[in-house]
Amino acid sequence: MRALVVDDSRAMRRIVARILTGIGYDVEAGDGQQALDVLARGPKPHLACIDWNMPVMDGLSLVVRVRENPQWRDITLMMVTTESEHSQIVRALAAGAHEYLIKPFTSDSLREKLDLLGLVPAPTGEVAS
Amino acid sequence: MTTVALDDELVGAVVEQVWESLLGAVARPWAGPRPAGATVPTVRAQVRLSGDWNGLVRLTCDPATAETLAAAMLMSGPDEALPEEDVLDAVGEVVNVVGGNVKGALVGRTSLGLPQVALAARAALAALPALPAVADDAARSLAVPTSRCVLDWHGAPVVVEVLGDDAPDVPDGRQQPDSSSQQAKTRQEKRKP
Amino acid sequence: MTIAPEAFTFVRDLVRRESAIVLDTGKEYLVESRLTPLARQAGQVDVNAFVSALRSRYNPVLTRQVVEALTTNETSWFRDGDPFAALRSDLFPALARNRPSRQLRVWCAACSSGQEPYSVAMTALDTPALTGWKVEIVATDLNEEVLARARAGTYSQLEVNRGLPATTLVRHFTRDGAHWRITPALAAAVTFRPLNLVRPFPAMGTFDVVLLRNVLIYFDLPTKRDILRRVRQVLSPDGYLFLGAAEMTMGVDDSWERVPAGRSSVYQVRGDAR
Repeated sequence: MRALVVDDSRAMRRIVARILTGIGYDVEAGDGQQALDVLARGPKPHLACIDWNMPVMDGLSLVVRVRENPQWRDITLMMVTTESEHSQIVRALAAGAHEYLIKPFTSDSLREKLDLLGLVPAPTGEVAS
Repeated sequence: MTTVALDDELVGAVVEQVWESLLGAVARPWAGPRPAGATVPTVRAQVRLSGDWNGLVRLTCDPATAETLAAAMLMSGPDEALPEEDVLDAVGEVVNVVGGNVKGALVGRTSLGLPQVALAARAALAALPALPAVADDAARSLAVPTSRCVLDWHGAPVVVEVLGDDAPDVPDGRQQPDSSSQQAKTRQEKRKP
Repeated sequence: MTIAPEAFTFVRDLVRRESAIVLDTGKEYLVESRLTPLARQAGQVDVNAFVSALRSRYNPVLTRQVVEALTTNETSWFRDGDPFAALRSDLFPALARNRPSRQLRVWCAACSSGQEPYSVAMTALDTPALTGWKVEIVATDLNEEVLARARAGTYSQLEVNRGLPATTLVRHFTRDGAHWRITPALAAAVTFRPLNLVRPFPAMGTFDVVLLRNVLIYFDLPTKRDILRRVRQVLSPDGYLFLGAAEMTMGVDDSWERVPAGRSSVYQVRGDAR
């Protein structure tokens, strides 16, 4: 599974990337503008975690851009942002984000969101009970 | 809808959550003498809120404390020396998250700027790349702290303040908002390899 | 003061055993800060002394308080997912076919800070087969303090981040200062009251679904058996009982049979024991 972490803060990119790597993702990271380059170049990620407030291209615009491109339709988009008003969450969901995680978050809460999205890679050797 | 008082309780609740989840630490109140905002030597990170409420959310600490805050946030090991730009970026992100959550608690429409981080003294972080100075000295003289919360971070004070532009006892308290281009520049500059 | 490694290990094992919530290494600060008030209340000088006392003599009430103190912000909505999916897809529709009164009653028997009963309420509100139905959820707990929190229906940012889909958050919660508040519809669906599972149950009527998850582990075998027997008496004959994912009635009370429900499983009273 591949994930793209989009945040203008290197610290936050590192935090999100570490959690995702820990559950088995290959992670690429960048800011809003770099994200489009990464998407254009491929390989296509399964998941993109997107911050809202970023210079040059903000996260909401990125969501809209990704949603406009039919080739990117199957990428799951999750906002990971400190924007936390009810109206902002509604806006992001309406623009095409699938999930929304509010900063600050814990690694458990990120994992649970992925679980809701069915995007937790199955650990190898898991036995169904 | 209830009116939310931008008071120590609100800021304290936000700080507590940010400390717990972002820094993996308990937000302990500072028991020592209250540091005077202007004299603490300092890394200063701030983010501007503008709209129905106007002001700044600001974090101030000494440079060594900024390093250990960043280390806690990034879970870097004792052997890993974080590049200074990562330290500043991490502290900027702390204030960004505090600012976002303070904004989320306010009634009305307010938007959040991008964090600015600057050094007000060049002690331990002397080798840091020069950053645009935060034009806040004038601001500080105008804005009265709406709320201030002082935390104890391993024996050093960390000050988190919410400063309204129009504190009631300031006759002409409206300060110029930071230009957004300058804020953007701060973050972009930090990202240069 | 810092918590001693062996005290931390003891508390971590205790919390894992009793709540199935894992406190990772590195959460020492959390244990220390959350247990300090309990230690003070118990008259101990610090957390280490408090943990020593807890280790030397099993105290179910104090144990529960410790677990609750440490699972704040760690309690998820729709915890373990599958039971709620099963309610929505299978159990609620099945019950709906046999209830001409268009009423359902659910009991959450260890509701703690309220995430479970409100999750049930949201599930019921989002189940098409129950549109227009009266779904009454009775939520009980031994601890008055957590009941007060549950009744208030306000949750921190960290708490609403735990397992609550964003679409559900915006539908069932409103922002209230630094917190999020449940909508009046959700609040109206749940009634909270104190209840000690060990004592005879007060008159509560009959329930169609009982959630008794991750609570039997607190009790010894005769008590477990007695609780399950009394739960049978308040469960309607075609009703369902949920236990925690790692719990079972087998060997405790054989009047129950485990039946599959979606990707989960649930207990029903055996035909011959009804």
